[in-house]
Amino acid sequence: MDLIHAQQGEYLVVTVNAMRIDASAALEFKDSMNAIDESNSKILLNLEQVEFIDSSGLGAIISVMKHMGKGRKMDLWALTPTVEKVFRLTRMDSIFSIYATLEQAVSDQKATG
Amino acid sequence: MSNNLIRFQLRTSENFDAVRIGLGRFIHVLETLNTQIDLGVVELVLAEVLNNIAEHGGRESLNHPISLKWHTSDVLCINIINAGRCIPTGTITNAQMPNLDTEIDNLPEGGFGWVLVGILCSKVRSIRRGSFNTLRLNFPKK
Repeated sequence: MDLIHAQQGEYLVVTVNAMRIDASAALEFKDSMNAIDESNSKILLNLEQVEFIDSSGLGAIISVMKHMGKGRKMDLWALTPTVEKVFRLTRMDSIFSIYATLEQAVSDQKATG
Repeated sequence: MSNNLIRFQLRTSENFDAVRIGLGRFIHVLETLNTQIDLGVVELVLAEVLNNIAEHGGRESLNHPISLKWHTSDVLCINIINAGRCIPTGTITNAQMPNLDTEIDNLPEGGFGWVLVGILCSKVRSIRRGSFNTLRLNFPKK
């Protein structure tokens, strides 16, 4: 899966350059995310291009977060309405920190250290 | 009221690419109609059901195409007809949200699909006739 990386403050911002994280793409998403350099302790996953996610895609995102292990974390940015609905209905919005803007995400990291 | 039908074929088990293409055709048709239904919800629910058929339908599900029949009235009613293993109504209506009150290492990576279907459909009914299953799903208007 096409992922674009860019450093923004403390975050490695990873932009998913795809419209879907569904059952057809979930394994590829996991493999691509797990291949990211482990020296990055904070990842901000940019989902602004992702218009559709199903429970397989949700499971893949959870799997990636678990794979990162203790001392590293992954936050989410720019959920489209349908993706936001999946996170809300499954209560995964209580597990992940979700930001509407990059500025909010970066300033929140500065505030919490 | 209108009656409509789309069919597509799973070539192998876990043929999620075929599900994506068939689902895309179906949603594209609905987009051309004034259904007054949240099509993002319809796409999500059908993805969960069709992926389940691809994953758990067994060999029989590969021998016949999956049919999506729908009609609109005060709701959008979609019938998913397939051969293979049946999805009992209770599997969906009794689905429980996985426990999230746990350490990150123990978070569930699955178990959300039927919960979403149960939440998003106003009515779910599973019917077995011979070797064919019909899963009837109703979607409320916005």
